[in-house]
Amino acid sequence: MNNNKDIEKLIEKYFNGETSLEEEKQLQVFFQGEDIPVELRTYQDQFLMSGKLNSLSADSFSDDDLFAKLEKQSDSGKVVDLKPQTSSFLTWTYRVAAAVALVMVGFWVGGKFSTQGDVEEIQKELAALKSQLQSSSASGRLQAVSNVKNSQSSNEEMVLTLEAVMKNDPNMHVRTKAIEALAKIGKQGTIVKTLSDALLEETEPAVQIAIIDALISLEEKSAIESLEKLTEGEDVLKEVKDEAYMGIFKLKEM
Amino acid sequence: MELQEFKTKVLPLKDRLYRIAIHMLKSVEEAEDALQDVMVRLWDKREQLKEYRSVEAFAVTVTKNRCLDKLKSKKHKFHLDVQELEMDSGFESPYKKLELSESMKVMVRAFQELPEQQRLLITLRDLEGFSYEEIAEQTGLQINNIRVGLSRARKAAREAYLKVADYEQQ
Repeated sequence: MNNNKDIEKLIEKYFNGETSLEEEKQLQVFFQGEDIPVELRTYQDQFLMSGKLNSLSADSFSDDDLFAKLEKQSDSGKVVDLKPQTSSFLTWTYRVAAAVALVMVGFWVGGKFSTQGDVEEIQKELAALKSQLQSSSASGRLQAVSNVKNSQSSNEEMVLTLEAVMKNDPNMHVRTKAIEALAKIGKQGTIVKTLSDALLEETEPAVQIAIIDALISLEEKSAIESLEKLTEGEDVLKEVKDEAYMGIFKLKEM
Repeated sequence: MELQEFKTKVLPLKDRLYRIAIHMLKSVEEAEDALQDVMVRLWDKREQLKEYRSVEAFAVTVTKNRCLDKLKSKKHKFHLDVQELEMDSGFESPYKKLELSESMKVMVRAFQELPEQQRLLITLRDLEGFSYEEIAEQTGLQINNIRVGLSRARKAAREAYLKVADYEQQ
């Protein structure tokens, strides 16, 4: 491997991401040599960098500190474990029964008082949203969509309206707000699919990023495919691609 | 996994995890911080560690995620100021101990200024020497995307290096 032509070929392969680990080792060894030809010298630092940086070690990191911390954790774990054994079986039965009763009362009260009001409120909000969306000014529509964000519950029609805004509104801020509102609502109906589809159709970088964030916050693994497609797009901005890579990382980890 | 096993299987990875953290976070304090967090997390998950094919791959994944999270929250806090701060505080500080030559400093700086994804790929492949299969397991990326990303990162690093090196020679 002393022939320069071979080395040049390897360098080219390296920059194309095609070298094997062994070939990369060969390059590193070659550049450690003393008589590097002049025309290859500008490559030297790049191949010697790993040797230099690999001498770093975590010597300031104290194992003792770590184990002190870990042991404290597992000790406190043991204390908690011991407690249940000292209390009698009966007390626990009572406690469980009380908890169950409390939850049931909660559901009953909640059901009694909230459903009726909720439906009416959503209908009212939807009507307001729709009339405001007729507004020709972007700020008017922005306000309309922002109002929705505050409502926790929502119905199918609301989702459809927001989806339509996200796809069709000419103003990017309005679209972004609609995306945020949809992300808040959660995994209902077609939201995830619409967001994934919109990701590939949207061309405004800021809106693309908003969609990526929304998909991450929904923890939607099925969005990975769309994100991967986005990273392969030719005219997608680098920052957007970075965000998409980050999204893929996060979603795969969940 | 008991403490003894943790000491023989996980703890020896610390230098490598520390290097990954320092390349990603560009700060000694933050890297030490991240390493602590990662070790505690691995200890918490010690029961699950057995289920992973490779403890090392899992440890690298946890480290990578911790670093990306830290970078993300930092970005939110400082936004664009970050780059200026880094300039001021001197890029080489995490590598000060190493006594690098002037031209190697230029190279390291070129590497440091790559976007975090590219920095991660260079760190895992060129600095730590992982195989494509291992990197795929650690990052969840497809091997093809790893090759493309690496190619871009290597070219970008060289370009940035030449820019400064040429300038200094003139």
